[in-house]
Amino acid sequence: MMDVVSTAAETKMRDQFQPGAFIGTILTTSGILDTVNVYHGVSGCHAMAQHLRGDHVPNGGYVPVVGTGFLENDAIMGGAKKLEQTLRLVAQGKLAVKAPPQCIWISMSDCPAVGGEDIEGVARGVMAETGVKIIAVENAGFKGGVARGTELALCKILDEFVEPYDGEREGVNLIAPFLMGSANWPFDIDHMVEMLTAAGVKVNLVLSRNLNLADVKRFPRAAANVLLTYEEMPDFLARSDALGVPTLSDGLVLPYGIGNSEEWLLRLAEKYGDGNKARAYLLREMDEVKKVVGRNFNFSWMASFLSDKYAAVCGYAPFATALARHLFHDLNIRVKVVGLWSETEAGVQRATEILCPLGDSLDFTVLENPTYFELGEAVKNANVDFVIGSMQDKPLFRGYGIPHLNLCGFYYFNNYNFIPWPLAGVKGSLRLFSEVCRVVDDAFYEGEAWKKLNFVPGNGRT
Amino acid sequence: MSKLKSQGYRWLPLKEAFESLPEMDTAEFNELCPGYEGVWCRYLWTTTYFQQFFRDVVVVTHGPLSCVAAVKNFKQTHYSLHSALPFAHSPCTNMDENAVIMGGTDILADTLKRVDHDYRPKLIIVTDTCASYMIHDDVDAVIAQVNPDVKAKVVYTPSPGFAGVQCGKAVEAMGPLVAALMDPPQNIDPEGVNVLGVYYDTRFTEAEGRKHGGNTEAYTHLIEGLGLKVHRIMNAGDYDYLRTTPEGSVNTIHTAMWGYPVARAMEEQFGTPWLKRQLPMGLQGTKDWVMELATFMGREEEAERFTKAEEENLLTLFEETKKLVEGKILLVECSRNSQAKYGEMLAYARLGEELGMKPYVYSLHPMEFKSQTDDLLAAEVEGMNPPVLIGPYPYHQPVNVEDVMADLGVNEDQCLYIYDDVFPYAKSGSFDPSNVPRYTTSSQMKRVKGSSFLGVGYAGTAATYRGILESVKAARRKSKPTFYGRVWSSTPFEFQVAQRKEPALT
Repeated sequence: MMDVVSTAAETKMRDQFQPGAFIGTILTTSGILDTVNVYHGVSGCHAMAQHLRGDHVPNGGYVPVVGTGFLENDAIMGGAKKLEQTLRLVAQGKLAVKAPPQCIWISMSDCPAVGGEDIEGVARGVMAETGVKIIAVENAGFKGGVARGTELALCKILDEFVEPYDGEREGVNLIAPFLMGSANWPFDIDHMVEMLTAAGVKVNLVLSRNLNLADVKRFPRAAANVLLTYEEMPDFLARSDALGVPTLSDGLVLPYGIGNSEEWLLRLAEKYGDGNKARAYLLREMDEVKKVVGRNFNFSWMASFLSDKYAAVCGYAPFATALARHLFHDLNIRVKVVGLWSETEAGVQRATEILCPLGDSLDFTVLENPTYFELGEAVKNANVDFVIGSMQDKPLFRGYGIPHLNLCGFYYFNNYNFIPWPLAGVKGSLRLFSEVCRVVDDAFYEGEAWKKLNFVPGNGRT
Repeated sequence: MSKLKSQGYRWLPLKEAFESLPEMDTAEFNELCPGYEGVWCRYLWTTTYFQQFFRDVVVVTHGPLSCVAAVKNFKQTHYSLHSALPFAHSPCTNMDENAVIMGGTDILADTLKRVDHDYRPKLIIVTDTCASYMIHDDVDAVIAQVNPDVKAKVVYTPSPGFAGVQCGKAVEAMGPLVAALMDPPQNIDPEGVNVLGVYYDTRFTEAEGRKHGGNTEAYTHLIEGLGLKVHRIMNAGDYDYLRTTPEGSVNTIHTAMWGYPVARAMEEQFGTPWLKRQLPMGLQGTKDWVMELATFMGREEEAERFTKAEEENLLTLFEETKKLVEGKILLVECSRNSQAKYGEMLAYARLGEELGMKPYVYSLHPMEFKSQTDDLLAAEVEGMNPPVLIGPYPYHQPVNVEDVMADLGVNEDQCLYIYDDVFPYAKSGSFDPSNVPRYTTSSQMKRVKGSSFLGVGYAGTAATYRGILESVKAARRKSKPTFYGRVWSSTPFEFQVAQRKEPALT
């Protein structure tokens, strides 16, 4: 049976990790490598933008986020002059880059937004003067979360750079990989492209990852978009539809774990590629996995040991949903609590629909947009062996004495994902399994007993 | 002319350097130093200051969730992960565009009631953010409205991110807010000594199971060494611990930047006297701090005995370290931690001077320098006036340490490099721990078992001496550079460096 708890529906109060709209924009634009972000606003928001922009760096590229130096006087008198000066220097290749970029994106924080700073007007002025394309996005933190900021950026990209197209359409665009909710998303999305390609699905564009600005013009050549989030993005979908590219938005489970990967790949391959190629690929991948773990005592031991254990998962809805299914289906772990975060109602609804069939064979509770307090209490009461969450909630669960594995959230900060291996796909199952084994160290090794019972030379000898 | 000079940088003694700079956030200042970025903001400082240090306090953010995320993304999580601070519950009114237009006071009222009912804290602190502050949401009125329905004390601390320069001025503004949470003293403990301005947590000690602490232990050692008692070490503990701080008989200071504003406000509100020396580091620096306290408390004899015994214990280590570094240039690189308290780097500079080194302070951004007036006051108290590199630092870019060395005309064997946070400079083949001694003074990175990670007291001093000594020894190898240095270098392998040198030899 699946219980759904949604106190969030009763109140606007929230306590969860949800960066603002400008972060979504910067995560999108930072995958377009020949461009630069200029950030106009207060330093605290700027730091978060710089930190999370770094998600694109592993096997990707570095797109600067240049602050304009917005200070208190600018909040009162307006900071347009600083914005203008910064844009000019970047456009001339004198700041952050050595040559004029293909485009400069302006993001902003709450302070200049509430103050009514005319970032569009400044952008137009410097663009006319320098000839460099400058796009201002009204994406202050109060405009919404990461998904909304992503949508705002996607809309700008379609409006500014994509022309109508009447030719043949093939394959898919993968949209917003960082919204999946995996802390390993850069390597995951790279592998998902490999999976699709092997299954005969042409990946027209990953929006965005390792692109040049000219690449985004390819957008309408895809047969469809695969949105890698369950959030609603009506403005983007409408624009994309108008360009003739429909969007799969019915909540496809993400390819984490073997069962989920099979479902994801075959569904996309049957529609946009070659089902036979997909099946052959899955078999090849499984053979590779078997080479590592088949007849391997360590694997058999741990697979047996993990079975029937109790776990909780909390994170952004798509990844948390996929993980919950993976733990139950692939590892025979009883998932007792699933915390789902989403910015839109549709986000949690789609995730809940995907999880619903598990209720026939598993008793568990789904918390929709819980506060950390609710999450902690629910997990404590469920008496689970470990939790899979994100780095930000590690101290919460460890504070309850519950072992914690950080696989969710963003790449940034203490996730130690330095080995370029996916969590996604059949291949990623090896990494997922290894990670879960590691948290089991914490959950089941008797470390406290070792300390208390440690041999002390001479102790007890008279 | 050196590269730095051609870019408009110059060395000036600390005080002169300060006076040479125009007032902050003026056209003249912005012309000199365009695009100052900073890292945090007043909201971030305020939340972290109150949120985790006092365990029965809940901070409610009246603003967008994004502001809470900016705190959790690094600062708050890092404090939990790498210090003895618990997870910080951070309920928020989740202000959206509609609330920005229509006002968010109803949501705030609902949030306060929910937090009081669910979390049951002793104290709720309401912080606002840029958006809620700019639309003039009347937080005080909301608190008055909900007060009959809530059991916790509810206090409003205005904290819009844009207010004040994010480092010095934002921290200064919190002093009176902290003191305002304290109660007038019932009984003053004549032997009770407070330590103010500890930027990191202090309550949980290594004896209680902490992996790396030592700061509380270091101050306890110094204070009890005089036969006195630690009354409070701030910020730490819970609301009751905080509110009874004025029952100590004197306030001493860990860092001026964080301690002076609270001490001033406590003096004004409760008449608590305070002493001005900060950061007891090095043999002389520690003795000066101890003697200032001893003189105030009439414990000079005990202090002489105590410091003499402690110094004798460290003398061999001191001499051994001094022998290795005397005459060297101490490259004092300020970066991110100096935004909040550059006095910490000055204290290491002072420790270096005791060892016979000559400190040069650079990458101290003029905005941060100018905004932290209390650190300048503390330097004057201590008679510190090292050379500081003043210049444009455009868009908050630091200067390159190799350019600093070229400007000073020194080579790898004539220097010791210290830095205060992430992003130390390294480039294998020219500047790496394998060929230039380096030592981290960063409160984020420095963790030594049985010592003080803030470097204070005799244990902290001993750890710093040992660290310096080991750094100098490590740099003798002149080969096998570090992974970090190789990653940043265009010549990551030693054969490349050898090839580069060969043509020069032939």
